[in-house]
Amino acid sequence: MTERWHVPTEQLDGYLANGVDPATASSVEAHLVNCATCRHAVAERSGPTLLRDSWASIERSIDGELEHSVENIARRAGVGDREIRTLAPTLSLQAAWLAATFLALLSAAAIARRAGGPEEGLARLAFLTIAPLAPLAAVVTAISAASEPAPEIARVTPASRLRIGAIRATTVMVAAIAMGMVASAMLPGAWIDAVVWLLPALALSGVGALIAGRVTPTTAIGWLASLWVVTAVVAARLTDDRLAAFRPGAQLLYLAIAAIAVAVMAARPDSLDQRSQP
Amino acid sequence: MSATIRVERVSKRYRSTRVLDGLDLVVEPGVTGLLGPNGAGKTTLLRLLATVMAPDAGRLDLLGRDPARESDRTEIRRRLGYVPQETGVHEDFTAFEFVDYLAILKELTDREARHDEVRRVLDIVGLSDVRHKKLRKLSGGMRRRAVIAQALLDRPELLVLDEPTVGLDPEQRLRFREMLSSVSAGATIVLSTHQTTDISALCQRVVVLDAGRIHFDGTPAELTSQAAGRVWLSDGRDQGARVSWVTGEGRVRNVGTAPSGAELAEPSIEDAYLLLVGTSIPAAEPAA
Repeated sequence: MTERWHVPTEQLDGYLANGVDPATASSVEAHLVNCATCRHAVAERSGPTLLRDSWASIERSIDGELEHSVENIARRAGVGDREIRTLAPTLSLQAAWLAATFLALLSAAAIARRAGGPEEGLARLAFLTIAPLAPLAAVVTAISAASEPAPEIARVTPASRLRIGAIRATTVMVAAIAMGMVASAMLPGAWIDAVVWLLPALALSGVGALIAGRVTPTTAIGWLASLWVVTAVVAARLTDDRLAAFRPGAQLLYLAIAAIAVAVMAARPDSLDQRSQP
Repeated sequence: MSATIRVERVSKRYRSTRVLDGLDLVVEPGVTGLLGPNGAGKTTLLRLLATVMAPDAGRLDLLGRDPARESDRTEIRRRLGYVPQETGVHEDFTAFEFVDYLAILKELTDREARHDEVRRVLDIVGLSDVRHKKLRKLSGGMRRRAVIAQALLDRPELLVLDEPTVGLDPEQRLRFREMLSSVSAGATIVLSTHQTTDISALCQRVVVLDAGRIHFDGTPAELTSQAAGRVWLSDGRDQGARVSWVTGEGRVRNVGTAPSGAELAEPSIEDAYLLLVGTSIPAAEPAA
């Protein structure tokens, strides 16, 4: 009876150390499937370390791949791993709300488009006044503790509050503004007249972000939204110009407010913290 | 052994209520347990130690740094693990994602090393097998263990645990004790609990707080010895008892000033604790 062939020791060591060419590795593996003696030799020579490392490697690849499809898309688009994880709860909390806002703005723009005559001016004022409120609400909600997956624990980590707040606020603000722009495209008239709500949106969002850590989100959004609506309506009444709050002089003021808010947040990152922070 | 926590004349108010009243405390490495009734100031003290908030008066020194200074506070937070009493968690996260998220906030930047660390702490609390389940699908005890797991990230030097065993069943509580013993080497752990058995099993030192002040500070054995000669068994409730209750054998266990000739019983840490703070527990009559 012919004695069965086994993988030579040097070749087995080479295989275990990843030191053989792919063709040899493949033939060693094919032999191992049918040879208990060589499998035993592999177990003896490799020890527990190789097995442990193999399992760790499998676990790593599973943990890396078991992520949501949105996260995978964002990663392929070049968004960093840490930013994706930081954003995930914010997006899942705000996705439905942002979609509803988008539909509301589309409806408002459609009404303005169909109205015609003097009603068109009123409908336009209503759209331009309401459009900045979507980014405001999105930013304040994103920065508030309600958007934080574990508020009290996150508060005592060394992570920069400014950086996390900026990532979340910027993302939702960009999403809200993009939706507003799409809705604006439906307004009748010149394109530039349809986007005059942008700077008011930035100013309101900036001030909202500043006060979000000091009052509840409802209070912040409620007060700022009321202040803005009253300003737009009163300006229209006093000047007999429905779009008085959107003229160049006012736009400069909104730009200044937004710039000051950003400067204050950059200078005092703790302004984004909650009230009980030391 | 050098102190890792120094609390000097610390006071804290919530509106008109004084929760901590000029508290002094020095804590060294090891496990220190806080005992006290609801409203005693345990959670407030732990939140101060975890840098969640600042005291109204007095001074804190944590890991040799001053948490009132921003740069020191950040450094303390790098070496801190914290389990709050109650915490909302984003339930759409899996256990792995939840701990990974907090690992990111704890500045574990390298993805592969961070994932290895997340797996390590989830393994310590026994959640490896369910790490890819969403938190909303896990039991309350499992969610609590996920919160404990994040506190162990990066092997903290200071571990602050506010009632960590709440929501854990008896077996999980035993596993928690085992886990804490394995991670406590060299670290300073301060925990609050209502379970006197946790104190006996886990802590080298126990501090009893009531109405914002320290009423006892010593070893669990020293606390237990406070009740020596002040625990006795009788067939009915004795007038001298501050607290009494019916035992499983149908007899009455009394804690207070024992009458002469009383049948004295071996005191427990719970008896001593009740002697210190347990004046409001209604007495029970023995079953007929």
